[in-house]
Amino acid sequence: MQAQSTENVIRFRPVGKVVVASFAKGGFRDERDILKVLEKLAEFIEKRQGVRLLFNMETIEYLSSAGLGALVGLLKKSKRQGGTFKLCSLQPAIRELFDVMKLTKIFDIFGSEEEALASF
Amino acid sequence: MHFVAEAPPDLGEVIHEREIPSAIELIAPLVIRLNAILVDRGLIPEADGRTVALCLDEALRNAIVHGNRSEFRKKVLVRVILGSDMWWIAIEDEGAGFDPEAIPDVETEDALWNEGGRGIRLIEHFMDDVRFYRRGSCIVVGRRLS
Repeated sequence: MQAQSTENVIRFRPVGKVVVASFAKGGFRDERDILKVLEKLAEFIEKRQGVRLLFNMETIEYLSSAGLGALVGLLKKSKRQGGTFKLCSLQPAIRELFDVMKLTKIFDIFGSEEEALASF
Repeated sequence: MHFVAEAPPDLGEVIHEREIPSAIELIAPLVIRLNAILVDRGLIPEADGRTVALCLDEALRNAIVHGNRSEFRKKVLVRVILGSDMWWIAIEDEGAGFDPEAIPDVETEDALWNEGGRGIRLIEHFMDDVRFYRRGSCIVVGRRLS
């Protein structure tokens, strides 16, 4: 399985006071690609104190404990920077991982982007 | 947690055996191959492949990264075993094993913020049986035959 280049793969879109991060292309199954993208999100949060970031995960089809851990790291980083980091549009199998690991207790997760944007 | 110092017992017929060097790039193709074997043999429905793949990914990653410290020359041995009422996958590394007490309970309030330690918990959730032999350097995961 060939890891894809992550150049220009993540898209940041301002919607009011919120920045929505999403994938420019769909169907991410190789976690190496996903982890690289999460590193880019970390850089984004690092550079912007207090940023309100919504991560639309609808195209993520696979996530392991490494990916879950990286997302927890992003949430911690965001809190340290005085920001907000929320998730939306998780595929059912990915949502199940958050439920199983009880990560729904620390993450704000929404069914749709609209719902999530309304919560900020 | 079933955690013992001994080698795993005879669990049934070995229907596939594969040894790989410790390189994480080799995990994905091996998981695809193992999943295909399980589906072709009718041991799992195709729709269930994703959760089994996740468990194998986690177990192989632990074996390569934590067990063999990503030393390429160290091998990971994988066997698919067909028992009388279960199928099993045994994954064995060349490491010294681990301390089961050191695995955090990631579901406590504080530990929810941990960035690691969820792999084994995910495996335990999605498989019917998880056992550790040789002080943890061999993990055996299994599902009941339907």
